[in-house]
Amino acid sequence: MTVDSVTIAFVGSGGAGVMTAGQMLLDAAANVGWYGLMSRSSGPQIRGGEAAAFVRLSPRPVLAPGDRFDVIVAFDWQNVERFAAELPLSADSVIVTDPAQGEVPAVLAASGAKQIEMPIKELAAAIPGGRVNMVGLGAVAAVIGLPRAGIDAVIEKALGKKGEAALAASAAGIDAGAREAKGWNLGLELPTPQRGGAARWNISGNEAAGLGALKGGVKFCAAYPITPATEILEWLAPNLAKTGGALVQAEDELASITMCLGASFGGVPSITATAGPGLSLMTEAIGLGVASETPVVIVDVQRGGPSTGIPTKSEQSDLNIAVYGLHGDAPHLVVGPTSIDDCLFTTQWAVHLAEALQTPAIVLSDQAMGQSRAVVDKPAEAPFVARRLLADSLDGEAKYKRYADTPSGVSPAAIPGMPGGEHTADGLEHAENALPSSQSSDHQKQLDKRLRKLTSHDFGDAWADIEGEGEVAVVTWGSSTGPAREAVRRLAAEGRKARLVALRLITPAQPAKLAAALEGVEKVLVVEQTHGAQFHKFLRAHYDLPGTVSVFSRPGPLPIRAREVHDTLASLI
Amino acid sequence: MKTKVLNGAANVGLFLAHALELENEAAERYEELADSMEAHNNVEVATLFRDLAGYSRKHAAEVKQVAAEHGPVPKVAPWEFQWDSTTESPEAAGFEHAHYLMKPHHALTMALLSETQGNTYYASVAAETKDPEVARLARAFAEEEAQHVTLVRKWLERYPAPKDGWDDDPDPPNISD
Amino acid sequence: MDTHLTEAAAGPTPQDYKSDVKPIWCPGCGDYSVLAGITRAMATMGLERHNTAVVSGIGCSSRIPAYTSCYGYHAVHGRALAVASGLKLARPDLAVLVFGGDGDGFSIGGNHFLHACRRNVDMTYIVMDNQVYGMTKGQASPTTESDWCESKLTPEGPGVNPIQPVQLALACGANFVARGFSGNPNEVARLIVEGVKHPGFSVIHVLSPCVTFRPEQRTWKSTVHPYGREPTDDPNEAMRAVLEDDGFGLGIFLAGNRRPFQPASAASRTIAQIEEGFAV
Repeated sequence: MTVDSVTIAFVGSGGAGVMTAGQMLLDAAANVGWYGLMSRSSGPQIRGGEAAAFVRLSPRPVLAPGDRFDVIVAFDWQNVERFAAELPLSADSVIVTDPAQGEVPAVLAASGAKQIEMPIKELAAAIPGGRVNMVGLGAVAAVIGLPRAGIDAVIEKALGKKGEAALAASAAGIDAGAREAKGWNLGLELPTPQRGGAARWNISGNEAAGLGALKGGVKFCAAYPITPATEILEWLAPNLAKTGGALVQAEDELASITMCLGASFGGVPSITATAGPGLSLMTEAIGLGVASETPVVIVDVQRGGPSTGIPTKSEQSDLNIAVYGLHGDAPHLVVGPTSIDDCLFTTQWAVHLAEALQTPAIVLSDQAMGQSRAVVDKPAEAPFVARRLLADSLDGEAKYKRYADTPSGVSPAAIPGMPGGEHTADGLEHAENALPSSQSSDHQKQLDKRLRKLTSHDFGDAWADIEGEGEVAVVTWGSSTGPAREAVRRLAAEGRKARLVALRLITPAQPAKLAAALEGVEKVLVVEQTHGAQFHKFLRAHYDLPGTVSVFSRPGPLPIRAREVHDTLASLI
Repeated sequence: MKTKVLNGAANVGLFLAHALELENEAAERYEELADSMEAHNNVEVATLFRDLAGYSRKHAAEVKQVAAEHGPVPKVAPWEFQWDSTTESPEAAGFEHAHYLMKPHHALTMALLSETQGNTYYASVAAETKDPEVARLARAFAEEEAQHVTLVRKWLERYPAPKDGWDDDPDPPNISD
Repeated sequence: MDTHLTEAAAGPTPQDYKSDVKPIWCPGCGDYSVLAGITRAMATMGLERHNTAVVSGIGCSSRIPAYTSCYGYHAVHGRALAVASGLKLARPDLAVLVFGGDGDGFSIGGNHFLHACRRNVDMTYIVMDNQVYGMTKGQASPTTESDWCESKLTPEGPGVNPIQPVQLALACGANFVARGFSGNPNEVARLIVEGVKHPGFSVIHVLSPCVTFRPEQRTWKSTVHPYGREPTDDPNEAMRAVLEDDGFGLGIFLAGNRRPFQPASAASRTIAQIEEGFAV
């Protein structure tokens, strides 16, 4: 018997190597032709904390975490109750537990899941240099029918440098786990992957955002580390250097955003990445970018808030600050990738838009996309690159006007190095000639043009992901798109109709486009991962939603699962 | 006051460089003070500084003419000019003496100081120099400055010192950005 | 002394570096003279206006960019050094000068000052110190004396010791540290020229009286004095000497030889090559 997808968790505390096991499982699955998604949950400890790696594998692209776990392999049960809620189980689930680690905690056992005892620690101890995570990995590989060659390639790549003994120990551990699992007959084998499929990538959301920045033309990044955004900066550091750009570590987020503004004032497309606390510090300077019309891209990898919140876990609750956090009337771009691989497209698009419209763009990613890794089809090439409208004929008689009131609202920019374009970019309100002005007419004119830049721009089809049909629609954004998309597809497979509209462009709002996308819809379900239904309120403020509207809104860190969206939609049909 | 040996006394080129700097700085400073008074809506004093700038421009043009006849004048860095008793060019009115409510009396007092310093400078050069051509020019310029001093003095008679309280402003200072 | 006296080419004049915008500073303000020093320095160096960027934060002295004819960025309060660092790192071909006051530089921007000193990006920071917040009507600044009681905000005086900018700059690793006085704009011009020419981060602390809120600073004219030592390239020696200074010594304290920070940026890979790394 084979299944359509399989969802596995490795749990254990520091030293067990659960993340490595999860990563190797994903990589091995990729090697043999499957698709997959790995997300992570961990405690706040730097080392030694309780941790879990969640892996879902399938012969088809994986859109979202599984509804429940098919298999949990526990190396120990230390503090598992801290994330037990993130481990949904059913009577069909299997818990692989080491009897030496004590009984399965009641909070998990209550699911009625089948329990299989495996002496993981003892098996590992019998192998010189053996490790528990390899034993667990071997068992899982056997359960899902993962060809051994796929794992060997991963071990070779990961441990080859450590020498023959390490390779042999790992292989022995995997063999030991596989031998144990042989007789379990769980019926969780995945179909043999098809050969010669499309080119696939193994990429995290944070890496994808970094690559999107490069492809958009970014040449400068100022960085201040913060969980869960740091990997974007760490990825960009070497890769910007390799492509003729530069990354500099700043003293704080106030500096990282303003360094980017400085570089961008110099005509160099710039980016920084942060999380909620950093975005809070940056808001004043983002307003400077709006007023001085200096493009910049800020990737906010959202985490649980407010304040320090839950740094290692996901939420979509920075929507309000991203949209409304700037003082004054400060129109700017806010976009949200709709999947891990879309972090590439959306960041690249954001660089393009920021430069084209000479204004800051905030990219709202989140921990669930940023720190998760997926095996996906190679993303399509997108035509979006940074191209700032530059002033020409600066040598004419007329004095250059940096903030000229043009029909599109975009004023041709002069950047240092261009003779005749000298001016002072200013956060003070100014006249067209860039000189400070507190006159009502100048304020009105500049406010109008800064808004018009956004409202008159044609954002094309990329403003939203739209699929499906019918009179019921789910409207969502960001990482909630994955489970919503899977839910709509499952309904379609069941012969029931529903539509998906996932906004990629948050601001400026596109009322006419959404109205067209929801033409004929009688019931709308809004899906988001916040406590305060921020997205729903945003939609209510900027859009007319047709028919009756219901909301599925839940704060992090529990991921929204496809089954939940599916069942809610089904109840509306 | 004992004066030191001045760069400007060394030769005609250096003397003219100093003279050009002195006259241009004087004119520009009056212009800047006029701008500043205009920005602060003190039209009366702004006009007065503008007039003073006009006279200085005229004198600067005369010096420029002399310099042009002489040929290329050496370039001197700002801090390498040697003015016997002042840190800035002696005829540049001191920014620090300005006040937004200042009266013509104050402006003319500033001008008197500037013109006197200009006269003193040229007179010192004339006394110090060993170059007869420098001495001739310096004496002529000193004479011109002396006329300015007389003129400003006369002008000042029309504007006696204002009574105490000329700088009263019932409004508190403004808050800007 | 005559070494710099070269035959004149038809070079730029200070006037060429002034914009049409009239300063809004109070008449009598020291910043007028500092601006004169700045434009004289620019003319002396013959900086190309289009290849020169002046950056500032918020405050009276931070208005300077619009008063020059170069490229300028008048940013938000306290962030001038960060903006300028980003600009110079991304555009090392530009001459970058930063202007600001004591509040902008040492209070709200204090952390950036600290890190700009240690980062040592090749740019010049002219900080005009009048020991008061002028634009907000005369509150104590980080360089105000602890017993200055003229502000409604701190009627008993700030009660805390003032920051010593020159000591701070040396402690944090600035590569060139000097002090000037607005009453001597030609000397200010010299310090700026030396600072711009010197590789790395140059801090020029300029005492610049506020005649509106600190009228007593008019006496600075007679308080300032030459520092009286030759500049050293040894930060330890500079610090020892500065600790004995009364805060009014004028001159160059340190002309160090730390290497400026500038990441290399020669492309060695295409994006296509880089993204190959994600292929399964």
